[in-house]
Amino acid sequence: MLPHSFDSRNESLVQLSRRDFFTASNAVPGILGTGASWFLGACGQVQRTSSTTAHATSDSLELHAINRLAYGPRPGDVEHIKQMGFHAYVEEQLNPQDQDTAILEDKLKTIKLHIEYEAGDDYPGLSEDRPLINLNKPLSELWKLVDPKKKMDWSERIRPAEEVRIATWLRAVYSNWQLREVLTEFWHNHFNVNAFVDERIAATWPLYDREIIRRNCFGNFRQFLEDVAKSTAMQYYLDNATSRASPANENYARELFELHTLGAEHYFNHFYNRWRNVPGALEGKPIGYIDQDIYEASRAFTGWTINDGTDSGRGEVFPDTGQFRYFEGWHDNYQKRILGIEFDPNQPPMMDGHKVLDLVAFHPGTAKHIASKLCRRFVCDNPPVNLIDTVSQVWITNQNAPDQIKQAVKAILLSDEFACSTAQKVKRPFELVASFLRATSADFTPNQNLIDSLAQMGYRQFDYPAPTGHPDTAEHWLGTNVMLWRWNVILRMFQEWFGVAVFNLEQQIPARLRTSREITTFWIKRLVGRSISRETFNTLVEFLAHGKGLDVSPGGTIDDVKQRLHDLVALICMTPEFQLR
Amino acid sequence: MNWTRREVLLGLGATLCTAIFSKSLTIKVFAQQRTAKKGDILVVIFLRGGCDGLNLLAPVDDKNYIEARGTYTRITDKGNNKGLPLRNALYAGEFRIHAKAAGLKELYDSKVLAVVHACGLKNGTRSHFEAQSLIERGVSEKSTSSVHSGWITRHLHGLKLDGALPAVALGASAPESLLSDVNAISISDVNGFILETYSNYGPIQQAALRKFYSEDSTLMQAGLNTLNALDYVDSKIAKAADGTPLPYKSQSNARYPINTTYDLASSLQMVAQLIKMDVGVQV
Repeated sequence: MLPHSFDSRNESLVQLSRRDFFTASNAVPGILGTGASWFLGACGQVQRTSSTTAHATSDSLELHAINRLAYGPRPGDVEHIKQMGFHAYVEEQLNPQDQDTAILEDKLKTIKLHIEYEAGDDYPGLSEDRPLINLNKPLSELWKLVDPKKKMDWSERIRPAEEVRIATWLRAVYSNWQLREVLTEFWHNHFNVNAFVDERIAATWPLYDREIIRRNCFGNFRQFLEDVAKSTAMQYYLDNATSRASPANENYARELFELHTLGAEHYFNHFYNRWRNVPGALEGKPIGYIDQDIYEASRAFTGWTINDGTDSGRGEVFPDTGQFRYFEGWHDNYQKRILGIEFDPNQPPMMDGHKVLDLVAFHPGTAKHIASKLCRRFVCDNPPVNLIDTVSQVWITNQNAPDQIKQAVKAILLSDEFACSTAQKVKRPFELVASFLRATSADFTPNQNLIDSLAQMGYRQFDYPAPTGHPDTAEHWLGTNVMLWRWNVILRMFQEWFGVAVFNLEQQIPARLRTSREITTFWIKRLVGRSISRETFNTLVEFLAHGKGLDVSPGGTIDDVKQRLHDLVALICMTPEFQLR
Repeated sequence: MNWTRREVLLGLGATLCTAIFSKSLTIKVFAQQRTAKKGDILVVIFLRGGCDGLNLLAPVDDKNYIEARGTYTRITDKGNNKGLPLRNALYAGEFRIHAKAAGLKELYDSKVLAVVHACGLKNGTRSHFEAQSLIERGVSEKSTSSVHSGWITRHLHGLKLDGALPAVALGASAPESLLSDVNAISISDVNGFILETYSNYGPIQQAALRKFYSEDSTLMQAGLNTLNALDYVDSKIAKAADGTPLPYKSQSNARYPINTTYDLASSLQMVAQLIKMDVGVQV
């Protein structure tokens, strides 16, 4: 028999009629519907329904909110949002504070991450479990890890980036400010940097995460863009730190236009390769960019570099601090033309670069590009055009406001399209695991095993190889290898060697629930929160019952039942329903 | 006979359903055993960096080439950038390959390497991602939305496919060249391509997945494809007496230079392993 202790935080098991609980056999077309080979109908075609008239298969607005603004519900979250109201919840999440949950603060202080390496020529080997000590260090401390004169193993130099990974996982699972975590992940992908290609990036990663991404994630985009441009991470990742006049290094300028602002959809070089021919260019409002704009923009950013002890070749040897600085001696100061706008020669320091950032930040194409990406993150893979347009307008209206991004996100969250997009996104690996840990109330200890397992699924946290960042459409996350690892990661969570989670499943079940049917229903509601297919439900109940009747207690010894309970929870998280949010 | 997704499902589903509650859970493979077609196998390696083709292989005495290029980026027949000559019957003048590509010259001279020069995009995009996408979708003009399938996908439609795993991609996810191919399998590690159940109830868990992924939608299909691929690879892989997969050993004792930084060698070793497993890989 299962133990009788009762967790008072548990929501009571609502008596669902069987009709409520299963999808109808001819369900509204959607991801799980029959006959739909593209599993998203155009999201804009779904009719808006108020929550009282919603069909039995759609998530409540509260469940939907916690699946999109957050990494899925913990026990009690849905009720909490119902009580405070959806609008109040949105406001709360749009305005995060620094104070966070006690468990998060405690885990950040006490968690240990293993580090191990063999002795080198000038240093001893070691193997130890070390707490997170680099997260709040200033640049002057972190930059010491880069010094080639200080002999140390590569693992020590990149350790700060590894600590940020662990902290990010803990925040995703335990922070109250979930929307901030979701947006932080979004912007890390948008301004993707592979932290592990260069020790100067990895060693200073806490700064990129804290001062650049997190500080700006709800803020003003023009400011964000400049902070990224001057960041040690981006300067090295896209080689602007070594870009000098003639010929300048193109890499940063290209990604600035193609990924960070206007987007490849506004790249028109195949149609026009002279600036005059781009529609709108002669009026100073070109509809997009061509290669000539990239070349000129590269010239504008010459001299934007990092103080890393380089001999400038112009008399000055840079100090070695890791700080951003501008060096006039490397700047191409002659006249330029970018996006149809003339730049006079010999401008004051950094003015060329500032002007480029202004042009791209305030271009309507940028509003569209970023609005599309935000809608894709929060609503569905193919967001409706009218929503993108609305959000672009909000973006442009607020382009000088300190809370521009917050306003744009708010417009999305309060839209009808958001409300009717329930269960339309496929969870990416990070979301899958975070939602699993939250819903099971697991005691979570992120470690390298977890990072490696997610890498198997194609999720490379802070070491995604291309500047594009992780894709955000379902087709990239449903290949056979990814599917297999969705299941394997869940299965590994229950194994001791993995060392990532400790569960307390039996104690969470209300004492009055005894039968296989009742217990299975409880866990489905806890983990998935929405109705599932009849066949899946029956298979799950039968699994727990293991030969005994469905309306009596599960059969077997206490250990058997305990094992099957854990295996049941794993199975529920391997269902197609659990892959959706 | 045309290969359809339904044929995959029908061929496998029937046999497996009976195994769910049976005691001996060696999953029996398909009632209709498909023999792999013997024939040419296409292995595609897409090198995703940048390469200056005319500084790799070029007609060194061509007047236009000499004029267009400075000596730094031009292969010559003498001096610092002297290339290695490649004999050819098509062109009266001299084609030379970069001096550091001696290995490729060796393959060429042994008649196992051919080079198709100057074939590529007409569109002069300098966007790395756009160029890759165009090449992988096999389109020469920018038309991002209209062609939504990979070139290999379309190539496979024209072939007669007999094996259950006609197209395999090594790596975490399938590349764009296989876009929209519902039968394509991506595997990151052949010997590790198993469902990692660990308790006594593992086989029942695995069987239950088939009940979950049984309707007709992209997500369902993805799960079903994976289950089928798992069973199939399991049935074909060489195993030790205790059932664990054996590490791959090449017949000619070729040693692959496996290296944790670059996984080309381990991917190619897995390709060899899959081909020898006779699972019908054609691409």
